[in-house]
Amino acid sequence: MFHNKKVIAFCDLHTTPTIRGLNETRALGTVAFLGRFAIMDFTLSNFSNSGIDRVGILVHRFPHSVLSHVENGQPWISNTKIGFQYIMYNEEGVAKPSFNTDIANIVANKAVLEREDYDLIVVAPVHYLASMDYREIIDDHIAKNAKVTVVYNEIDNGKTAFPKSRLLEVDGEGNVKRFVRNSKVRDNVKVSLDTFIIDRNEFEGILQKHVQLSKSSPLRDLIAWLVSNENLKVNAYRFEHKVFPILSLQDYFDSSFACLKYENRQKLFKPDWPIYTTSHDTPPAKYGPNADTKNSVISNGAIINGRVRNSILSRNVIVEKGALVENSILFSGTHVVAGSKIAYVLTEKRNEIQEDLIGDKNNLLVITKGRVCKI
Amino acid sequence: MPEKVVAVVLAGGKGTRLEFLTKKIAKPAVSFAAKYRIIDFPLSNCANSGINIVGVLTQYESTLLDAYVGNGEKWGLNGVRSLLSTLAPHQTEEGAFWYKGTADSLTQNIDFFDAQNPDYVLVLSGDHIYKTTYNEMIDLHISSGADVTISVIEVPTEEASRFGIMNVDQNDKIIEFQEKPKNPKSNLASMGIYVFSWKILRKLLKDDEKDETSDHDFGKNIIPNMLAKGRKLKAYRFKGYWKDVGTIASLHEANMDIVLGRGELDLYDKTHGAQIYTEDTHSVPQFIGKDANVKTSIVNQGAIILGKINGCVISNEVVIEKEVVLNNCVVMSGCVIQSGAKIDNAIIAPNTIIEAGREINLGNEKIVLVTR
Repeated sequence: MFHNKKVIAFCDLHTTPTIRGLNETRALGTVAFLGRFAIMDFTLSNFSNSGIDRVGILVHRFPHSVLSHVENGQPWISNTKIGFQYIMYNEEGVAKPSFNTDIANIVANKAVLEREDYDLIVVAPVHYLASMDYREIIDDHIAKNAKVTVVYNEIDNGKTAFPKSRLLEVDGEGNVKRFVRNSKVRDNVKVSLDTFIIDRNEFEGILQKHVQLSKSSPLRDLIAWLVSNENLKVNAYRFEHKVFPILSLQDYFDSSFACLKYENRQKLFKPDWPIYTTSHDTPPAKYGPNADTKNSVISNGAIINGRVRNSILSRNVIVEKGALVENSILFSGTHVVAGSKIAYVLTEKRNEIQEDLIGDKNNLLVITKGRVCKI
Repeated sequence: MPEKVVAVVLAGGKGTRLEFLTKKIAKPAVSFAAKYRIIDFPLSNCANSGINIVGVLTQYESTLLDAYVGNGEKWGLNGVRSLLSTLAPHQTEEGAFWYKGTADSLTQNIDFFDAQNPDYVLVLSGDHIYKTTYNEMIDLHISSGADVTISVIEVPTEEASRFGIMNVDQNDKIIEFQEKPKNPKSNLASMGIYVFSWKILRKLLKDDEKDETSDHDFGKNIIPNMLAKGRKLKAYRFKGYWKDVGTIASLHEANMDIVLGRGELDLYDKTHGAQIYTEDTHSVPQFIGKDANVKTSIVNQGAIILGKINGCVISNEVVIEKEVVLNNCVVMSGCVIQSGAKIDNAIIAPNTIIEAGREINLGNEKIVLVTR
């Protein structure tokens, strides 16, 4: 596999956007997706299914949330002796947030790369959900004799989607001419998925540049600078499959509700590509005599005896008789008391809803602990 | 130092009355309540009782069961000082022998117990649905000074003749054992759950091994012999839900007990140490379609429901297509019920495909097993 090259993959939590209502107290990677999963499960499962068993998780903030989700890493590791999943955290970065970058984290934890032999690294963020086979990308990287490869997705809604992403311009040979911010002027664009394959020598060079040039630039910005200023050759790999972005709260709703459609679930969940997660020992979902559920994704442990429409319910959610839940995402342990009606709402974990909370499509409500935020 | 208890789960029987369901897998590995397998119940009970050394005695179609039991991780029995070991018949210097009976399965594994050197051995059955901790029973065994304590449950008098009945004195000392009596003298049925003091059990097993007339069975030989020899047998009165799921009808009924909330088996108690643990499949959460109608049912992750179900148990990776109507059905994993099919009162074996429009058992109360 990987043409006998040793691979280490980094799950990069540094480049995730801050989304009010979702990751103010935890890493975005640990936020629930479709009730059952955490957002970072997709990247970690992609590594695992691609046969990459040697992983570092680059923790930006809120290490407790990451630790309590990944535990010992066993759900994603094939051989638990040979494989590893290091938690890499840069304590110094907390005091200096503008220097708390993915590269600074790797430098702070350089013992990992000194200890583990590798020929290639993969860096992948968590905020682009997809079933991605890195073997195909590494094959392309090697076939093109590339030193650095970036993965992109071609989209036709660039004016409205991927607002904070980097776009790339590609030359006739398939190399990146330059990276630019999405200024929302064109629909048909190539959007960087912030996913990189980098040869060891090149990566060691980039780490040097980090020290010499800019200690506040994350890896993707440093690569963009090197492309523009030092003619770094970056192979552009087109990822053909659908990507579900989570760059904003609207994205989170849109990507979640897209999965109410069978064809979208088929695009995200492939039969030979399981998404692994930690087990919570929840019993099957239970529907009472008054349950009335339509077009919804329901997680185990939920107890439903009311009406649920076009919604996503996490573990251990209770919807009592006479309650109505519409177009909403309820995080685990939410309890919707009899008679309450909620629509276009996202509830934090373990909230008890005793009143009517009605948002609309353009006016989503996020219910944190006892507090309603309009987004 | 607290007393050391080792549990063994008898999981080697063939379970012929479950018909096709046990054709290729052992009864303890048969699925239950959409997410579980039967053996999850005794193993979770052990974990919740703090009994962390467990042997699972397997023999009939043990491949899947052995793999499922694994290192005990599903029940947390893989921690330090814990051990979950499957004990299958094996070759020895004397030759290779199948287990001749429940007692013989322990005798053939006497080295396992000697290595653990327990104070007490808890003998459990791998085909019962119940949720308990065994601590009270073990405490009673210790405080009463009994040689064996047998868990008993009160059954309706008219059903007593289907069970092994224990007759007791005013102190719950067992004075007589009747196997499936025509005229039962009491309604205390043996649950096939025993606590033995290991030193005594070891001697009983060794004596039984030498007895050529013995069937080497706890119910038929060990217990009656103990009574005959004046050993002290104590009854422990179990309170709560307990069901032997040995037949298609009883397996269906136990599933319906969960769906309808009959009995006291609460799978939804979130108290730490009171759950039933099981395998977590790598499934997508369940999806309920826009024309679906799901009432009084339990549904596991991975299921897609587009039709109408009432009083049903739906396992993982089941697809219920549009215009399907299922009433009181237990649908095991991987089944596809194609559009327009209608089924009442059935257990549908794993991976069965029911063709579109097919009607099965409509209006009949008798439970049927539907297979490929």
